[in-house]
Amino acid sequence: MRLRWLSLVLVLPLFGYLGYRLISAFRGWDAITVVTFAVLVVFNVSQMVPWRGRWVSLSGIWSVVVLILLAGLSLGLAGGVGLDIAAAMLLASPFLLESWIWQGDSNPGRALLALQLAFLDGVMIVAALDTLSASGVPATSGPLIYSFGAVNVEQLRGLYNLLVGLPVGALPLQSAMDAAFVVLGGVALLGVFVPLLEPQTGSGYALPIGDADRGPVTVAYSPELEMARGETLALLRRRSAPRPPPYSKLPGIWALVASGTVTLLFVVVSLEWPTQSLLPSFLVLGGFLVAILIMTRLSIRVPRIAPAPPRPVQAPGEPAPPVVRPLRLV
Amino acid sequence: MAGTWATLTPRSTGIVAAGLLALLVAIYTLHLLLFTLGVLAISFVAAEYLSFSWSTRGFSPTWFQAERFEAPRQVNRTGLGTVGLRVTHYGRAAFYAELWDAYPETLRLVDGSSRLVTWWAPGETLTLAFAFRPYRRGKYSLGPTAIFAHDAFGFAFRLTYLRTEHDLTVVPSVPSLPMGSFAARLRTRFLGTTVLRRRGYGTEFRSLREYSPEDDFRSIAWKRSTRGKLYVKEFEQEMRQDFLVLLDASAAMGAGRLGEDALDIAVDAATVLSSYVGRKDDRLGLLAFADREIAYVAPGRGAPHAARVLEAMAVVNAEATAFNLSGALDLLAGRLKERTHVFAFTTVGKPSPQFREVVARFRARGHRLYLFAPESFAMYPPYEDPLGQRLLSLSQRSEGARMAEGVRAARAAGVPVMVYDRKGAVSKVVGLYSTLRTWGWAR
Repeated sequence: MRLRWLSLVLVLPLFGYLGYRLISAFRGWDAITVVTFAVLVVFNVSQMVPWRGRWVSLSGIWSVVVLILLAGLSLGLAGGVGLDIAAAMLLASPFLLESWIWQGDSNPGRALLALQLAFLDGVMIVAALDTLSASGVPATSGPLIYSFGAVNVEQLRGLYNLLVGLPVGALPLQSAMDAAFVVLGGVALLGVFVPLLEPQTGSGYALPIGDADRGPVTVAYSPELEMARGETLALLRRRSAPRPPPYSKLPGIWALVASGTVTLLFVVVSLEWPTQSLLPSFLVLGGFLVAILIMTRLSIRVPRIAPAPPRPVQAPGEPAPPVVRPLRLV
Repeated sequence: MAGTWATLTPRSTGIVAAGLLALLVAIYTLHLLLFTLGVLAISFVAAEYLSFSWSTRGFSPTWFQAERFEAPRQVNRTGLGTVGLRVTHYGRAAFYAELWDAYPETLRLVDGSSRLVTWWAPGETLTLAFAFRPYRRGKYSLGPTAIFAHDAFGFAFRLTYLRTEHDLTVVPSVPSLPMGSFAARLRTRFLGTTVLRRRGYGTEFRSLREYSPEDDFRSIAWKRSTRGKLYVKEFEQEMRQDFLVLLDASAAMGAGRLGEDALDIAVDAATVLSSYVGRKDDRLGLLAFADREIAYVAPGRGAPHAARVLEAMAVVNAEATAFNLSGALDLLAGRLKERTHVFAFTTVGKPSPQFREVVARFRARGHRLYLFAPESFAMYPPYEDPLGQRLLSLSQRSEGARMAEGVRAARAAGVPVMVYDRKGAVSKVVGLYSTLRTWGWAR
């Protein structure tokens, strides 16, 4: 839970800053836009609180329902009202993705996906607003939506030129960042990674990491043992207790060091030779796709949770014993 | 190669997938932060996976030595069992371990744990211990023991099984007499304490008397009989008698809840009978029969013999076949050397046309048959759901009519029938046994 709080503290500033950028740059605030934006943001942000109740957990579904209703409304309404609603939805969309980060408790991949999509969404909206600001057009609902589409078209054109060797013009998404945005983005990235560092099994069961995790093993005996012999209690007292690893052998530390070093090298190379950073990215992308394919094939041979073949327990001629499940995972 | 690579978890594949998508998005935006996110996610999972796979390479059962202790081979059905398991790690690497000792679902864990999650270094020994109560009699196997090796972040695991199987027989226990069965308690209290010389089945000659139609034809004293007047020989009843439990192991005896079905209740009552028979030094045998012989223990006496009967009863299960009572009686008629009281626990279905003749042949050899019939429709507790209860009532009606027909036919053939329900057959069995001990016969 503490790591979850830490994660919340690290991720929130990015969205706070993004909210500030969007609200201050957008000039088309009227009653409809404000209400729509507020409803969506409040619903989505409410899901981030760790103690959220069942009614708040439903807000994920509510968000989708509200979004669909609003999309239908904006398409059906002619002129300004429909555009206002669509613009408010666009401005609130990063916060919807932000709330998805917190729904990925047991699935960190989902949290990472939500963060990157929120980041991408934020970058595209900021780029659209910056473009309007640079061209002197007031950033109201209609121009914002038009500009949002235009920056993406411009980005695709720039990438095409880059690939075919033509002179690259402006890449609006690349330039839509300032130092604060990058720093806060890095902090948010750490925030999403922090819960990953908690030792646990693949199914999310916490692994012992400190002496505090040492579970009591001989404290509360079942009342059914009252009549049991003393030997039974003595046997139960001999059970091993969960034990954490020694501090000198923190598991996973080498993976942290190695991945940190690789990432640092990548950042250095990218800052020094920005164009060349694409090559290692493609290499990493392709390499890991191949590696995953190979490993998946190999993993098939590794015995999974299949039970060992049961040993016959009946003597010849005796009736077969009842079918017994080999594993009872309690 | 299979032992070289650990198995990836959905957690790690999810992160790698997110990282790959981040790189794609980064290529679109050319944004450094997204590149960093992708590289960090993928390199973190890859480094941890490779490091874990390398450190635990060769992970197999040869790394461990397991030993069970204080695990009994036999447990009473209403008793408490314990299991201890000691596993020592002789492998090359330390890891987060998750130990599972498998046990059948027919055992209920009451204390301790069959699972342990801990850090495990080479040379260390872990001990699992738990106490259980069995739900049902039978022969089971504890184990195997599964050992998972987890990496620190839940990205990969390895799994191996240790052959720690341990045979366990849950034998039926002697249930206490139900409250209210005062007559049975009273009779069993004085059972066999008075030794009376009385008429009955036996070998010691007592006297002659005039023949009456219900007498066994073979006991006629031909030498003393005249043309118009027949005499029969009377014998002293022997104090030691033979009893045999005939268990119907057909599908119909599976009526009822797990551990409390008609067959389980029959076994409970038979266990009580075995304890009384053992106390009075009578001989007890067992035949489990469906459409064929399943288990047979010839009548005998003594503690080892009683244990053999109990073990045989422990593993009798309802099979997916019908019961052939006539076949069972014919089989017994050929095997039993002494006059025997046969306590048959069976659902009384429609008897075969030859039933009367078979019973007559059986009785002509001096054996006596007593039927204990479960009301199979009364073996289920009442439903809370009204619809379920209505359906149960419907099935009860047809089943009840079928059973009544069978009971009528058996009684018409001169076989005493005692019906039991979910409350059990113990008091009826004890009552009949004490009557037989006291008078030598029963209606």
